[in-house]
Amino acid sequence: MENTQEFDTMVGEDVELAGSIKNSGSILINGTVKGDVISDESVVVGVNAKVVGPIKAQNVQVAGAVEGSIEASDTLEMLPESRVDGDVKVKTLHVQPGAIFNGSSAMVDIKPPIIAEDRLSSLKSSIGSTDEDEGETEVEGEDEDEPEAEDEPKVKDDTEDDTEDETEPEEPIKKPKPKLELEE
Amino acid sequence: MYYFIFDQPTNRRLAETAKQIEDAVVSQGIAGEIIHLNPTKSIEYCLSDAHQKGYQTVVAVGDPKLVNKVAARLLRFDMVLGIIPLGEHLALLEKIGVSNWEEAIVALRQRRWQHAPLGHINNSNLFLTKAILDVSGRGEITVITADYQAKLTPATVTINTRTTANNEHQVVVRCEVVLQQKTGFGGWWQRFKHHDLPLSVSEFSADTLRLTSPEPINLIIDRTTIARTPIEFSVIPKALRLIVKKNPNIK
Repeated sequence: MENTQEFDTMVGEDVELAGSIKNSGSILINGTVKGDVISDESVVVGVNAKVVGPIKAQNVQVAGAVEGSIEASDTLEMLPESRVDGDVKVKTLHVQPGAIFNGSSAMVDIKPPIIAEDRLSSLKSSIGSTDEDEGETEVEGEDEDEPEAEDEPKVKDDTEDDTEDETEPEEPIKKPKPKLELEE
Repeated sequence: MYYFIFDQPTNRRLAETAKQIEDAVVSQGIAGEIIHLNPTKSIEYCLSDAHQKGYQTVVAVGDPKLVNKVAARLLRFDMVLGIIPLGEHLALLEKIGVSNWEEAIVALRQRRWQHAPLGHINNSNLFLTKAILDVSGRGEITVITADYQAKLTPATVTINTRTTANNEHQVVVRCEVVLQQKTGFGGWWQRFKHHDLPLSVSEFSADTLRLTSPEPINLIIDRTTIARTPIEFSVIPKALRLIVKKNPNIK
């Protein structure tokens, strides 16, 4: 829970969040959340945390309090001192001694949330580009700038697969007029 | 061969470092053209010059202010961006995954690039490095996304762009909240050893994100105020091709 790099969204102590958290990555809650919590990966509800609303994720770990249903496509783990008031649908359920569970449980196969696909498809539609070119494209040496080359002053990298939709005359990314006017 | 844009050093020490960098890029054989910014040679002029001469890589040698300016203007050109921090600028070093300017030159020579998003502030200003909200003692702020809003009273707020494992480019707001402060001598000692302050860390990420506060709060990039709350942040994915160290731990 301490590792800040593992979570897409972290709600710290003394934070009140109202609304839905939907992340493809993991979510850590140490504050109060009133609304849905949905993740493609894990949701961790910390010791002093409180969630009022349903939780859907691959894995859910509860050390605090949850008032709402929980759907875990893989595992739900309720730690000592945790409290869940709501029905749970899980593949694997771990309830440790000292945990309080008020609700019904169903051991079923659940389809995991697909936040990532939703987000990627919406991103694709909004910017009109493909995603295959992401990552660490490496270009070594051979495409170094040759200012003297008259015939190809602006050669694209061979390894670059930054394909654009040729049917789209528009640039894939809306490029606003840059204007970084920094005050002195 | 790369096109180098050197910032004007603000003191003698930086001038010496700039000279060392210049010598190093020449000896490494990657210095195609070296331009020192001055009133007659603006960033716009340099980028147009580099583009017309067929350079595919422009290297900004300077502080985050220069790098942000070059990055913002580079959107118009199909060129790769390299960075050599002039001075101790952790934000720049983190951005390309190196720990000093010498490593930055090695990374330049290897010319491994990856797409980098640009942060967009109020649909006008662009930034590559992180921005900071000057919240000290200003009370509550509200983080608003399309899906939720969160209220907190942070001690520090940093705004960055991030690429996740799922290839999403997101604006990330990181808030550190001081949970409790002692009073009296204990408080003084705690502040003296400020690393002992108990902090609660929150990170909110979204494609578009808005920060509001009861009173206007300055947004600062490299010690310069560029906006005041309410501020809307968005991200331009894959805005740049940025030269980074091989297998960097990009933050």
